[in-house]
Amino acid sequence: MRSDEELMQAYIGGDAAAFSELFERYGPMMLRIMRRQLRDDDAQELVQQTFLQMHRARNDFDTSRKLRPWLMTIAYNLKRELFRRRGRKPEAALEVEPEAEDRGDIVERKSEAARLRRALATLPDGQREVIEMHWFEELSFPEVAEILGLSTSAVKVRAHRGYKALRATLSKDVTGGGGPP
Amino acid sequence: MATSSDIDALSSDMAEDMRAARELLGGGHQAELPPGLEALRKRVDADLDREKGLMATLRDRPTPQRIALVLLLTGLLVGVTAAAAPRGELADYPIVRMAIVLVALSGVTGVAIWRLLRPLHLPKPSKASTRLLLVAGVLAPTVAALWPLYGHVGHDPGHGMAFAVGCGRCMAFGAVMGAPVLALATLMRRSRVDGAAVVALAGVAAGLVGNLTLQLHCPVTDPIHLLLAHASLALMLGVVALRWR
Repeated sequence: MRSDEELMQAYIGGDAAAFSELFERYGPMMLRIMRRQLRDDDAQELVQQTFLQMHRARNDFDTSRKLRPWLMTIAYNLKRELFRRRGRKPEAALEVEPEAEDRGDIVERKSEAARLRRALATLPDGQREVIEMHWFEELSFPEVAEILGLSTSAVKVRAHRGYKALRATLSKDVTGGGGPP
Repeated sequence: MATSSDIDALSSDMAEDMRAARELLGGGHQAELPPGLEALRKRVDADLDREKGLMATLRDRPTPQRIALVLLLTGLLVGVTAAAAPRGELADYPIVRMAIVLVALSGVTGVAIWRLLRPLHLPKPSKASTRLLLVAGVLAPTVAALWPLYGHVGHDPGHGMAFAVGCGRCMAFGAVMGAPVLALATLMRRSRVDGAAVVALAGVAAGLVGNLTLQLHCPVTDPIHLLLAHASLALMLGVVALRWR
């Protein structure tokens, strides 16, 4: 299997099939990231913009570097710009209300997920982004640092503070509760 | 303040808690494809199909080449002005002052163009730095206009209608010289989602190019003329760029 960087190099060289493979690898992940904070149409629009920007910037890509942080930087910059344009913070969107027929574990999990989303939305942007990228999208700390233009230690500090803030927020919600679920 | 050892000590608890959180929210690498992906793919393909023609080719160039193209156009406009329509008293004008003004205006113009064409795959610069650049772009020609000039008298700016006509001519000249830079920089930007400050910066950069050419073309040294007809260009074209977006 070709690496992301090999695929990007092939795409820069004119191999359209390489773009399809990159879309298959990153499209689903990006859509999930965007849908975590945005309505579906906005999330789709941002992923569409990200791939368009990836195409336009392909000749800027340094094939000796990793593709993932490069692409994620584009996606996060577009997302921030959208929030900035709308003059609001990311919302705790996409909360799904439990349906009447849902029972037991499902209801509890949905309720916990909604609680966690609300708690995430209360974090400062810098901490929330680090937590999303590192813990939810499994980017390494150096990759997150590259995306945000920070040092790795600064990113670790944000992750640590964000985690502690999350624990505190979630503990307030539950009597005798612990940290994140 | 958390130290590195505090963070390392917490990392195993964090890892366990956050893995649970990820599973709850459906992050990470999941086998199941999210709905709507196929339709999204078709729209991306349609976008790529539209990426053809001269402007798409220019936008696709590596960023250093895009920046170099806009700077080349700026240099060409300034060079042609200096060669074809230099100010009448250029030989008598204090050379050091001329050099300082040209270097200052060129420097702010260059940084503004770099900021305009900065690619999205680099970490986003702060809003404050963009606003600072806007202020510098408006202030640099203003300071140049108000900088007292001793030992050299330029052409008389005239009075009344003659003064107004002279100002109008300079504004038109500067705007005509700045317009190609505004057009090229705007067309070569890859993203259409930039904020108002970045959009205005395109106009301010064009106004600075207008000022550079006027500095070499207009022999008037009256501060009021310089303020109204030269320095105001950066602000004026900044507003034009905002309305044009």
